Amino acid sequence: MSEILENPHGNCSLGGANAALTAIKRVIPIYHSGPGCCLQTTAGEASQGSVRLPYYVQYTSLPCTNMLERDVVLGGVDKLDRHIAAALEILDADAFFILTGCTAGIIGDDVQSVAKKYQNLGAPVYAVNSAGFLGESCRGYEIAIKALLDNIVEPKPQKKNTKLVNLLGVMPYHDPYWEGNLEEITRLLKLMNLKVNTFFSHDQGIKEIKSSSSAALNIILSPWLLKSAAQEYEERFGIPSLRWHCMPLGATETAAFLTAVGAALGLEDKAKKVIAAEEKYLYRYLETGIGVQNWRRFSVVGDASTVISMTRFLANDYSFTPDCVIVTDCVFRPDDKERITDALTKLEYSRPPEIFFTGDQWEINNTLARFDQTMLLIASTNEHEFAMSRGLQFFVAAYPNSERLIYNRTAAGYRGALTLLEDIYSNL
Amino acid sequence: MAKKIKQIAIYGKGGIGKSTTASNISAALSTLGYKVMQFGCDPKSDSTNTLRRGDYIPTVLDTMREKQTVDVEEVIFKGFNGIYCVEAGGPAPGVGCAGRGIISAVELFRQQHVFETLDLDIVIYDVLGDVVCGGFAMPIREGIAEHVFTVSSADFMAIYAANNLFKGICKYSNSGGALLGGIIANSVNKPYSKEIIDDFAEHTKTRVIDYVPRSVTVTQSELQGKTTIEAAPDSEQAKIYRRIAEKIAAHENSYVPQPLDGNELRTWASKWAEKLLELQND
Repeated sequence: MSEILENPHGNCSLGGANAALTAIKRVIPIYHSGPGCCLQTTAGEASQGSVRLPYYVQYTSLPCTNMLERDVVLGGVDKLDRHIAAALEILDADAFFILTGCTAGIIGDDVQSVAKKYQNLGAPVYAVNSAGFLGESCRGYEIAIKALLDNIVEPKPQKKNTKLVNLLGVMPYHDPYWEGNLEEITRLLKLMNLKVNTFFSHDQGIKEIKSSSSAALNIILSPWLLKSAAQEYEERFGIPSLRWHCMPLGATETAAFLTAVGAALGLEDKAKKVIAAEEKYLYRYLETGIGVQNWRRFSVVGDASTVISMTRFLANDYSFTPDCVIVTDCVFRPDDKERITDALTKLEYSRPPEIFFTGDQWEINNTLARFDQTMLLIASTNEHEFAMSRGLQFFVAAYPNSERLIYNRTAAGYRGALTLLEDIYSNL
Repeated sequence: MAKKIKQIAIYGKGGIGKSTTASNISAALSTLGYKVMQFGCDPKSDSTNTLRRGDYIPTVLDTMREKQTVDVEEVIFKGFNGIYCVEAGGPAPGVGCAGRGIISAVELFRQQHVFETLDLDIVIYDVLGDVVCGGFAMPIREGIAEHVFTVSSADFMAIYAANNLFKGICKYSNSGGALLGGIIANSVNKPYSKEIIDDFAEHTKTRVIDYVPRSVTVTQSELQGKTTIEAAPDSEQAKIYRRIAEKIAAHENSYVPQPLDGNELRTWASKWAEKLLELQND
């Protein structure tokens, strides 16, 4: 936390919370922060994932209290109060989340009581302590999920929906493929007759988040995020979690994932059928590439879920050789590091890559430079310059991505395997 | 349903005997059989000294400074009669933000569900009393302490601090914050001391829950690094602390005080200044 990072691969917790909450249909954040935070975090997190912006509100259309010295000295809650009143008057949303920046966090403005005042008047206004100094984007994402659990999720679900699952662990915008990935995994789970809450994506909103407490299973597609949220769902609503160590990609990983979901919900046969049909579809295409495509040594830099997903797919399903994997997430729990390392090293038959945990560009570049056999680098825009200087084949699959427009392109499941291979063998 | 943990904040002007009172109340509550935690919210971090034979303990903020993540078990220490002692601590004098320090420390305990895990009955926050910024108001916000007691002597500056605290309580009272349990009058030896505090209570529509005389027993006990409850359990002073502890344990209904505004407070004080002058001349 006290380290100085060159070119960080993430934003602050305010940015992370904002990126997540603005990915929910008809939700508007109200910034209680200094004037720079609003633009910096929306530009920094939400728009650097996939070269697009949150669809409901963004940038300068977000209400912000623009806290100045006067508000720091005298306290900023009165100004916040006025801004909420104004926002409610001119903006239409299903929920407003007050997001605090560092300034409000340091002076200890009691935003909770302001939110309460509006809730008592029947307005859906909720307070989120998201001061940037609390951590980085990942923390912001967890803060956002906690805010949903505290304020939106139905506290007393009437009855369990045995066909409903919550799909969590995918950080909106931070994962450049987030929306396409959610679509692909949802498609597969729907084939198993399941209904899927993804919270974030264009056809989801407050209604789906509310209903998440009646789900039969939480599926968390991340090796380390949302530990406390998983625990809360379990303790409050009796919903167990299936943690999958990455975004499933390719036939091997996705089949294992669907089998695990089937086992958790008693849908083993259904899973088998879906896997068989999907593999048939995938392999029909893959066959046509045999003899045309050649082998690669590769390295990956990015968030934990992405690097695991890329490494396992390319090594297990495509016989590529992984050289070096750099995890840029700020993973602080030793057991999480172990889980990530396991996922990256316990491969089907490939020699395991060397693994590093760092988000610092200088360290990343120096580390990558040691692997001079690498031919393909899958990373973020931050590593583009390095790849160019070495003449490496390169494409962006992790945050920050300021060079590649991604709408619904996916790097998940069966369809994602095909599009990813298309990426690897394009513009050669 | 989990039992309800009684969370109490004790505020008062620095040096007024707030930590002495808080520690003696904690000690008395523990001897009455309650599981107690005393949470010092003062950057001086000496709230719990007399519960631990004068020992200073590593503070939450010290630990935070050294490590990336703080395990609360590293900052909870057992004191007299099994009382859990915690000091929030603060930054080095002259730097950083002590108020935010209090917020961080209290938040940390909430996040890690410490009170529930330890199965506590009562938590006492001992807080620097001038409520100078948002951080020092943290313990009286919604979801933290429910009842606030203020320790005040008859000194004008102590009463001024108590009045400020009442303002803070009023501010948070509409949003589910803590309410006032009452005033603990401290160092009440002269008859007029009691009258001054009673009069202040009347003007602010508050109540004095008890009167604690200045006593050499307290000083003697503290010099041994002990509370009066530990060092002189049979003394008159210990009886008073036990009486207050019983009242606090039984206390249910707190209320919103009516603080005086600047002018009212000055007028009230000057009226007393004249009276005291008369007493001196008599």
